[in-house]
Amino acid sequence: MNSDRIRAFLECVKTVRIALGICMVSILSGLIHGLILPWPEDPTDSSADPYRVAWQAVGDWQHAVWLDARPIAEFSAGTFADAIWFSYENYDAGFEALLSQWDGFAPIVVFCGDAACGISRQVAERLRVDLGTDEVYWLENGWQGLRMGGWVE
Amino acid sequence: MTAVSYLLQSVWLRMVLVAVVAAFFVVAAVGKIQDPLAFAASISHYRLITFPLTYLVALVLPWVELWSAVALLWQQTRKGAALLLLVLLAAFQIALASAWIRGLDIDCGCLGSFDNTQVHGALARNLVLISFILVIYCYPILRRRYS
Repeated sequence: MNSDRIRAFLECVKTVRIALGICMVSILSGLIHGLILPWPEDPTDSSADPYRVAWQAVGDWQHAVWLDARPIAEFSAGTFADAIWFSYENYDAGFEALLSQWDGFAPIVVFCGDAACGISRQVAERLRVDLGTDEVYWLENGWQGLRMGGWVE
Repeated sequence: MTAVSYLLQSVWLRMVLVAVVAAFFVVAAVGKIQDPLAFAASISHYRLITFPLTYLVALVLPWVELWSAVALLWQQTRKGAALLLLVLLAAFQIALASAWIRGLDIDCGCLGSFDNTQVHGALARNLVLISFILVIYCYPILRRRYS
């Protein structure tokens, strides 16, 4: 009985050791891979992005078409400036909705939840390509920025 | 002989499960290894960790998947690899569930650029994978019990 337990225990120790071994090899592989690649810029560092709209400058962009890239539940609870809901995952539907309301000249501003969400920047990048215009921007700090600026509650 | 014991006596059951799980994780890893920055962006959409931690995770995690999938193919390392994949999938489930609860409109990023499965779909798929890996991990015990 005791020898069975000892055998089972040793088997568990062996299994955990193998798992830790795979972890070590993986960390080493990942670090070597990282050394080969150039270290990227922080994708959330927006200070040098010319397509960033500072949350303090929202007042200058009220003539723009606004796209709300937050989850549908948050959009339904309230949005800003009659924004069009634009889900990155349902890009085509959002794109059609935008085309039905965009005059082809007005600038477009995309916003999401906060500084960490990053979706607004991705949507803006893709729209610049798909619409063939440079006039697609994203709002720094998103909904949180609008709240900080007192534009929404 | 019941259907369960018949299946467990077959050498094919474990081989098929191992092949399916290993193939899934190899495909998942390759897509992410090719583009770690895109995977880092997928991780950041969960809003659980920030750069540069997202990038470090994006560099290491696909290799854990790849080496675990490879180790799963060998008898001597199979249980260790299965244990690691179970821990990994449990962590994924927690991250996915937290995204679901918070209503985040994101794709899971599970297979890199190969798919755009939504969070609830990924949760269900991971449950299937967990059950497969549990069978692989407990196969000798199950086989003794049902034989």
